[in-house]
Amino acid sequence: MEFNPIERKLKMEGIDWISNMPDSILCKILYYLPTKDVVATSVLSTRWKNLSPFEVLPIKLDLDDSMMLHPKKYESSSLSSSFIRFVDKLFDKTLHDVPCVDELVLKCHMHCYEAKIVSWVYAALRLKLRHLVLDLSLDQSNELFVSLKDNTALTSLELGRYFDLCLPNNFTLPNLQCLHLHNLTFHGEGKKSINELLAGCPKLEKLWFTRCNLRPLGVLYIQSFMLKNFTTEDSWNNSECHLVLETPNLEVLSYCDCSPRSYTLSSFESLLAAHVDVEGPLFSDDGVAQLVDACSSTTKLYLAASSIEALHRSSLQLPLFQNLTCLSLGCLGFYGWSSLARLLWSAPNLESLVFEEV
Amino acid sequence: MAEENTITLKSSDGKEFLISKKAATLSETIKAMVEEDNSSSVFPLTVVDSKTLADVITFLNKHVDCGDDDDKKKSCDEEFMAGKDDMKDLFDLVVAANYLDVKDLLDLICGKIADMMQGKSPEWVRKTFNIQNDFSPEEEAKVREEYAWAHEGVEED
Repeated sequence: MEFNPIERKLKMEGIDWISNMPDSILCKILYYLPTKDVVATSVLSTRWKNLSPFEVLPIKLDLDDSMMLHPKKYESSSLSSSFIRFVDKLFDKTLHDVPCVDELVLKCHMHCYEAKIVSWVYAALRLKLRHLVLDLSLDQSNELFVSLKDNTALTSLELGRYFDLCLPNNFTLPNLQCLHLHNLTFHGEGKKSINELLAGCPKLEKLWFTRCNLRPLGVLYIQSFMLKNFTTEDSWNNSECHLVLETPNLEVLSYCDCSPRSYTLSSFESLLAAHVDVEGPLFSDDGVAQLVDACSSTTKLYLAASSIEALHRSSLQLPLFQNLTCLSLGCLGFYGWSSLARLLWSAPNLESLVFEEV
Repeated sequence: MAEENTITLKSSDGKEFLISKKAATLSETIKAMVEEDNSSSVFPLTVVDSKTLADVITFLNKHVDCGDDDDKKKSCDEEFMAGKDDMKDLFDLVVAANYLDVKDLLDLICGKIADMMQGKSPEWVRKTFNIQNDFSPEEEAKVREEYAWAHEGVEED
């Protein structure tokens, strides 16, 4: 067994410092561990078994069944039943008297307990859940969204992997501030639902799309006075979709994606930082220029090589970046120094210029 | 003579440390002491020794300098933890941070200890932290069986 210096020193002293800590500190240490590791500590000694880490606020549950995909010692069915039994008991008994659960992360790779998953989310929502992360596949998502509908406690939601958005009518999450959608495909009813979901979150401040498939959408509407932070990554591949981004109070824009077919953009007057890395076919040059034009108030700007080239080819003029103090550039690309000269000419108040790839 | 905006903290082994009021009152415990007794300038901390107190003061001063800048705090915290390779010191700091009620410091060190335990087998954790297994073999087998899922996919050593 290899020990690093801390562990070697600890070993040599032979003192069990950790078990002598008060319960409150042990529970605080356990707060930083995934639920699986917390549960595993109950076998260390009676001191650890008698702790009640899931009854100490704030409560964070981080449940991941991936370890059951490659079982070594047990049959996977007995593992999954021990997992299900544990989570059932957690919500039925252990958490019965707690006033609230701060965060629930559910990463499920097995398909045998869809109904259970929905019931656990439902139980957590009843405990005034504030942050929900679902990374799983659901064949039927309508019950899930019925239980989420009108929830006022939830402030952040992350949804990922294979399920369609199947929203009940008039779906709202009145206090949701952060929404992260990843690896979702929108088809059938879901095409309409994504716009309904966004319209139903009036307080949204942060919105991410990561590796979603937005291709089948006709139009994506993001219209909000509250939105401050918008990120899209690898979601617009060959998209024929039109992007409406009317968010006049946006502060941070990160666009690392293909170009949509076309944009309707408001001018982002409050923008502090823009990261523009737009990949697109040649005809989208003016689209890139249009996006950069909407960002002309920013104080920090990053332009990737392909975006610098698109700006150079575009028939539209570069805007005047009146507030720009920090400009970072990827490789200058095909048009080299003449691109740089044009950019510098457009940024009269620039203080720092960074070449990120040389 | 201490200036008005500084106070003196006295460790359990009698050493005195001068610190700005602004940094000292990041500790809720010291803040309450100062508010209760405005006339004193020396505050004895009977459960924190000088070595640990010096560390805590370094942390508090760094955090006052960082203000509300979270990125700066993060790099300060990394710098602060970089030298911490003695486990007794770490647990002394946890106890001090808990007593002095310095949330950021308590979170930082508890997070570090948790990192050491994450994904490790119970045998490894027992050996590393010198935890005495006081279960009978039957009792241990029962706990293990109940939570079988939690013991799958861990690093054995």
